[in-house]
Amino acid sequence: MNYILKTEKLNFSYMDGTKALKELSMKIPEGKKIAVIGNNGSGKTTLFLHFNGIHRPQSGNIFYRDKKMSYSSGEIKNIRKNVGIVFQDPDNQLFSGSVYQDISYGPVNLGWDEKEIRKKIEEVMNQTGTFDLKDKPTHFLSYGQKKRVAIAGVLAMNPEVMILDEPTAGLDPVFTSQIMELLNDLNKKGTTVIISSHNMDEVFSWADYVFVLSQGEIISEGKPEELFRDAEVLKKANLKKPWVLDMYDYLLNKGLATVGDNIPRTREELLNLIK
Amino acid sequence: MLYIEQFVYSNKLRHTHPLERVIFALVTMIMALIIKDWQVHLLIIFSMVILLVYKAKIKASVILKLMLIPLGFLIIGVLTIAFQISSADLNYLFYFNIFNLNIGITVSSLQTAFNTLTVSLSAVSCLYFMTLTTPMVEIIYVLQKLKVPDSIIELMTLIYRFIFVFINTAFNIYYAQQARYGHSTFKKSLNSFAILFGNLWGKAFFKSKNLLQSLESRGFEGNIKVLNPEYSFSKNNIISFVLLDLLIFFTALFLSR
Repeated sequence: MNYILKTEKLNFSYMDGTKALKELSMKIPEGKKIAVIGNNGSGKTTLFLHFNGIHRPQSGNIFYRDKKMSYSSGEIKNIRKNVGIVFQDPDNQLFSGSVYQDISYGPVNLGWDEKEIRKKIEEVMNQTGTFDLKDKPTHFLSYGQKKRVAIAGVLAMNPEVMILDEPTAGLDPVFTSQIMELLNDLNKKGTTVIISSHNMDEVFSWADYVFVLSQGEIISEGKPEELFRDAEVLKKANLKKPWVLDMYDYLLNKGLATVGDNIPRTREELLNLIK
Repeated sequence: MLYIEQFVYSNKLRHTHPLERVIFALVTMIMALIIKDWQVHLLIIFSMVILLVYKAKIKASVILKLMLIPLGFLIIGVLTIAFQISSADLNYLFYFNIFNLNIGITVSSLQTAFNTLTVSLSAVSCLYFMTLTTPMVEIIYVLQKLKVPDSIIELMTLIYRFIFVFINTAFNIYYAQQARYGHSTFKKSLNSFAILFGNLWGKAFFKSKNLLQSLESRGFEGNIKVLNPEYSFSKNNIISFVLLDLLIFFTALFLSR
């Protein structure tokens, strides 16, 4: 297994003394769909900001493709190209009144050829369904539209790792499934996708690998079907068991479901296993 | 400003190159300022209104409302020009006398006042033509083409975007306060506004920090560089703009003989 990002005993505290990360070590497998879950304030965003060199660890190390980050300016540029972050609040990310300008920002900074940039902008606009918004001003967009523009702006940089901080928070179910679909497509093309989420059902059906963060520490990690069966971890991190898994375990207990090749992760898979 | 925003993004002249509209508006405005003939001024106002209504498809009532805004200021300003104060007896059309001073209107002062009114209104109509057909982002783009320094362009870009975030945040706080009777009496209202502005200040700092983080993560290196959509010139527009300006010019020439 290749690990694209690794952290080693990461410590970080904010100026007010809050210890956001404590001796945090984790390995992100390449080309997978990763979810980081945990309560508000558990350190997810802080961790993400370390991944592309916005925050520097107060102690500990971060490795990108087994190379220790040294924070030289050339390397930082490279890291920020390869690790893209979509922030939770799109209003913090969209700086321009024009959707087109905003999406072009990252690629222009990378110094690509203008023709190439225009082609890429068009491509990501189509991918994120924002093509119709290109003549609209940012402040006339709905929250969901802003969110998709924010995703397009990061996608345009062609990152190897795409991090999305709560990509579906505040979105309606249609937008949510569109975004998850988009993330699946990206992943199929080889991008490592990392999301944070509070929606356990979504994480369970989507993620390949899950990290549980609690008060700045990784308290558990693993495949979702194993991790979500660990009652102790769920209790410690205040997490809810995904309903598909909960139901499946209940039905198994009652002898109403068959044991399939895989543990069901969606409603349809579960229905197929009911006797 | 928010009122204008609604129309500018849906106007029908939008999808051509912004440079042609901005240049046309500026050239016409310069003519309005140089040519001192009220008939030319009226012609300029008339053509701008016609363009806005028939080409940009903006409702006449909207334009009328917008024209009334500067008119209010103008009338007050023009009145002070129309009235002349003198101790001597000028050729007053109408005057009254206070403390041995004659205050009144003369033919020439009335002319100056009327000219000032028409100059201002025609210049304003050019300005409205520009602002109602060209979104701010495109005006900034034109300024960039006209070699305005980058730091000013960046500031304009950021300010334009964050005015709306700012207004939005302010209103959200205001509504939240209202929902909890924060503005039920005058005294409470004062107090609530104090809290609102204090909060906005803090939020602005917080937002700017977050913005910097997100810019950095997209490769910010001290200045903001972006690409604009590719605009194409419209031959029809340029021809009609040039013809209109020529018409105004020759009318002025004809009238001055």
